[in-house]
Amino acid sequence: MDLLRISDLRVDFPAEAGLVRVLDGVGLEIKKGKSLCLVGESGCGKTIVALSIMRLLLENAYVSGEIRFNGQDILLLEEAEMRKIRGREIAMIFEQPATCLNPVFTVGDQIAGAVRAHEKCSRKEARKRVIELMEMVGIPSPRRRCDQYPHEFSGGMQQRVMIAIALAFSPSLLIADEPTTSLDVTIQAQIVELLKALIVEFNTSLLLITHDLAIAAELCDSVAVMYAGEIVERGSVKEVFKNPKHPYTGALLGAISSDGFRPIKGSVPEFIRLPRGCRFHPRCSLSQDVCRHVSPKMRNGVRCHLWPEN
Amino acid sequence: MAGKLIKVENLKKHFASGMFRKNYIKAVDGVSFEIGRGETFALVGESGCGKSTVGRCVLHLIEPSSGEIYFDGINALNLRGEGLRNFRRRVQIIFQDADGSLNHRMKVSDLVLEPLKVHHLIRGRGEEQVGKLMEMVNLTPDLLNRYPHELSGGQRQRIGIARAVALGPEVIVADEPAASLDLSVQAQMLELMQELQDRFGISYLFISHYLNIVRLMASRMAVMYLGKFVEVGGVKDVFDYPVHPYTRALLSAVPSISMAGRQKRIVLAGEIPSPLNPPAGCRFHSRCPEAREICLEVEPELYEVTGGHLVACHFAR
Amino acid sequence: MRDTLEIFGRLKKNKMAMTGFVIIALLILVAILAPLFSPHDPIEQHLNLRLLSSSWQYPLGTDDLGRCIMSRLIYGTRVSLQVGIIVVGITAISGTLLGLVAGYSGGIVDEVIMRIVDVFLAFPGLILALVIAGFLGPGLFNVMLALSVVGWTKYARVVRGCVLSVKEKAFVEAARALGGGNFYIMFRHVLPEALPSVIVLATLGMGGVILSAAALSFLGLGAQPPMPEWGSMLNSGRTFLQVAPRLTIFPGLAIMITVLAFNFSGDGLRDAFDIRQVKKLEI
Repeated sequence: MDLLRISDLRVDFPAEAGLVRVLDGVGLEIKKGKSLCLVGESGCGKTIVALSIMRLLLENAYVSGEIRFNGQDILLLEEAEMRKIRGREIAMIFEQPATCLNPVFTVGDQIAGAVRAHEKCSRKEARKRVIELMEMVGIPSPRRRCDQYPHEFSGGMQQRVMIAIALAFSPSLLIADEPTTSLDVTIQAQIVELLKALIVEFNTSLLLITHDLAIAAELCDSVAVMYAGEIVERGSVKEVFKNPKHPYTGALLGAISSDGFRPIKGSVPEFIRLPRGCRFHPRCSLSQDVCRHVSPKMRNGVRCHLWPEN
Repeated sequence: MAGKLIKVENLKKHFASGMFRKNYIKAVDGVSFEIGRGETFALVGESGCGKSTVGRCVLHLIEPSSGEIYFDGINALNLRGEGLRNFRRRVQIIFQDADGSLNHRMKVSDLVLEPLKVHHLIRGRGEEQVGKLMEMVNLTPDLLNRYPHELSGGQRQRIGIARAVALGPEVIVADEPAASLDLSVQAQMLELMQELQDRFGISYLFISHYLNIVRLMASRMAVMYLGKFVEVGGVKDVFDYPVHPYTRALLSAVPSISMAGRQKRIVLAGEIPSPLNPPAGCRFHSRCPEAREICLEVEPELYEVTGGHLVACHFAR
Repeated sequence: MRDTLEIFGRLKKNKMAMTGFVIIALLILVAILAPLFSPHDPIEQHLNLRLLSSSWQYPLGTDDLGRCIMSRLIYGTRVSLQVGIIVVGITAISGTLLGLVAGYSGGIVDEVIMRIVDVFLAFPGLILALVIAGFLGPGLFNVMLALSVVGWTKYARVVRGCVLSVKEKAFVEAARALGGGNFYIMFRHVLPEALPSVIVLATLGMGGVILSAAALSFLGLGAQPPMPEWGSMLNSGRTFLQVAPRLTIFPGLAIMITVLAFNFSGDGLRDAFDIRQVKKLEI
C-alpha cells in the first residue's frame, strides 16, 4: 500500500491579478520504506508540495485534491488531528538548519523537547535518548556537545541536529527540503550518506526535494520532475536518468555534462504568465504546433505530446 | 608575449580578530600562481578556504598582508590614483550575487553604462555603446528602462557580465559567477563567459566550488584548503590523477548521476577546522584518512610530481 | 520608480499625514501671499484702537498697540517658515555631509566628527541654543545661527549610521571595482540610501525649529519688535492674559497647528519610508 498518495493536488494563491495556480494536478505516490525525489528548478512549486503535505501553507491558499497519508485524506483533518501527525508521523528538515533551531536553548534541550513530546519519560531517560540520537546522526562527543548552543555548531552539524530532532519520533515519512544545498561538498557527502543509512535503519520513507539531480540519483528510488507547477515526468531513478522521456528532463541532465554546456534557452516562466499549451514549449527544442495549443496530459509517466506512446 | 599576465607570489592575508588578545585569521597563507593571457585558472575549495580573499586581493579591493601581485609586469600592489584607475579598466570582476552588486535605484541602461561613465569613456549619450554591450550579453534593448528587481536572476547576471566587459578588461575575476542560479541558466552564463573569452582573449580567475563546472571552464586549477594550495596543476592532470588526499576526497564527494562505474566514495570525517587555529603540521591531517605521524609535525611544501603538477603532501613523492 | 509610487500610496492612506501636508501647503500659501490675505499692515499702530475684540474690520481683534492680530499672525507665518527652512536647510546639509564623510572614511576622521557630536549632545539643545543666542545678542539672525549650531548633530548621527550599513553592501564594492572614486561612490551610491532618513528628520525638524525659535523669541532673544513673530507676540500678550486672552491664544494656536502639521507629516513619511532607526533617535 502507498504510504503517501497525492492525487490531483491544486494550490492557488490570491494575487493582485486574481488567483494564481502554483500547483496544477500534482500526483505522486511513495510506498512504505521507499524514497521519492521531487526535482525542479527554483520556483517550480516543489516546496509548495511539501508544505501542502505538512498543511503549513499560508491560510489564504486554496488547496484542492487529495493527499492520502496511510489511507486518510489529511486535507480533511481538523487542525488538532493534523498536529498529531505533523512531526510525529511526518517530519521535515529544511535547507537552512540555523533558522530552525532556537538560539537560546541548548541543542540537547531542543532534541529532548522532541523526545519528550513523543513519549512520557523522565529528564534522565530523555537525556540518554538524546545522546543516543546524537550518536546515531554522527555528532562526535555527544555528551559534551548536547550542552552547547546552536551557534557553536557548524552548518553540517546543525543539519545533523535537525535530522536527530526529526527522527526522535521515528516518523514514517521524512520530508527533506534541499537538506544539503547550503553545505560544502564534503559535508554534503556526509549528510547524503547519513540520510541513506538512516532511512534504512528507521524504515522511514523519504520525500527529498532538491534542484540537484545528482543528489536525487544518489539517494532515491524514484523521481518526479517538476516544471512550472506540474509534474512532467515520473519513474524510477534509473529509468528517468538513463532514458529521460520528457525534453525538459533531458535538457536538465545535459545542461552541464562532461562534454560541455548545453543550456536551456530562456528562463522558467512566472506563474502569472504561463505559456499556453505545454508549459515548456517556448524553451523546448522539439516543440511542434500541437505543443503551442494543447496542454499535454500525464501518460505513462510523462507529460509530453511527442512521447511516441501518447 | 611570453610573460604571464598575472603573477601572484607568496600572497598572505591575515585578518585581526579578538578584542583584547589579537589573534589572526590566516585567510590566505602564502599562495603563488600565474595566469597566462586568455587562460582560465580555477581556484577550488570549500567555504572559508580563502579562495574569495585571493580574488579580492588580486582585484586590489583588499590589501594583502604580504606577498606580491604583478599584472602585466607592473607591481599591482603599489598602484594608486591614476595607475589604479587604469588597473581597474584592465582587471574586472563578476560577482556571485548579481542582485546585491547592482544598485537597485539605477536603471539597466545606467548600470550598463556606469563603468564607462566612471572612466569618462561615454561617447555622446552612450546609446550606441549600451546597445553593443546589451547585444554582447544577449539581452534585448526593451530591458533598458527596467530596474534590477524587475529582471530574472539570469538577466541580472548578464548585466553583471556586461558591466565587467564594458571596459574591455584583460582579466576577469569570476567569484562563483553562477552559484545562485538555476542549473539551466547557469549553463547559459558559463557558455556566455566562454564565448566572451574566445572573442576578446580575456583571462579568468575562476573561483568555484563546483568541480563539474571547473572541469569545463578552466585549463589549470588550484585546490585550496585553509588558506593554502594543496594541489596545483592542469585540470586534466588534477581530475584524472588527483594526488592529494583532499583533492581525491573532494572529487569523490561530487554527487553524480551516472551510477555505473562509480568508485567507492571517500567520505571525509569531521569538519573544516577554524582558520583561526589551523592544525599544526599538515593542515589537512585532522581529516585525512592517510595521516601518519610526520603529518602532525611537519608542514608539507608544494612538490612537483609531474610537469606543472604540484602537490603539498608528504606521500606525494 | 515603483518604490516611489509605493511610498506615495502608503502615504496617501495615512489621514493624519495628509492633513499635515494640507496644512503645510496652506501655511506656505499664506506666507507667500501674506499681503493679499492680511486685512491691515501688520506693524501699523492705531493707539486709539487698542485691545479691540473681533469685528468685521479686525477679525481677531487688535493688540495693545492697536495692530491687527490677524495680519500679524499672517505675516508671522512668513517669519516662522523662513526660520524653519533656513535652519533646517543649514543643519540638514551640513549634518548630512559630516555624517557621510565620517561614516564613509571611518578611522580618525570618524572618531573626531563623532566625538564633536557627542560633546554637542551632552548639552540639552534648547539651553545650549539659549546660551549661544544670549552670547551673540538678541536678533532673529542670531537665533537662526544658534539653532543651526545645535541642530546638525542628529543628521550627522543618522546619516553616519546609514552609511555604515550601506558601505558593506555588494554594490558599493562593485562600484569600487569599476574604478569609481570616493566622491563618486559617496554621492552616487551611498547618499541616496540615506536620503529618506534625512527627509524624515528634516520634516520633523521643521516643527522643532519653529517651536524653538518661538521659544527664544518669547524669551526676548529672537525677533525684535515690531517684527510680527509668533513667539514675541505671545510674550507681549502675556501682560494682558486676563483682560485680553486673544493676544496669547491665537499665536499659541498658530504655533501648535504648525508644529503638529510638521510632526504628523514627518511621522507619516517615516512610516511610509519604513525607517526604524529614526524613530529611536527622535525624542
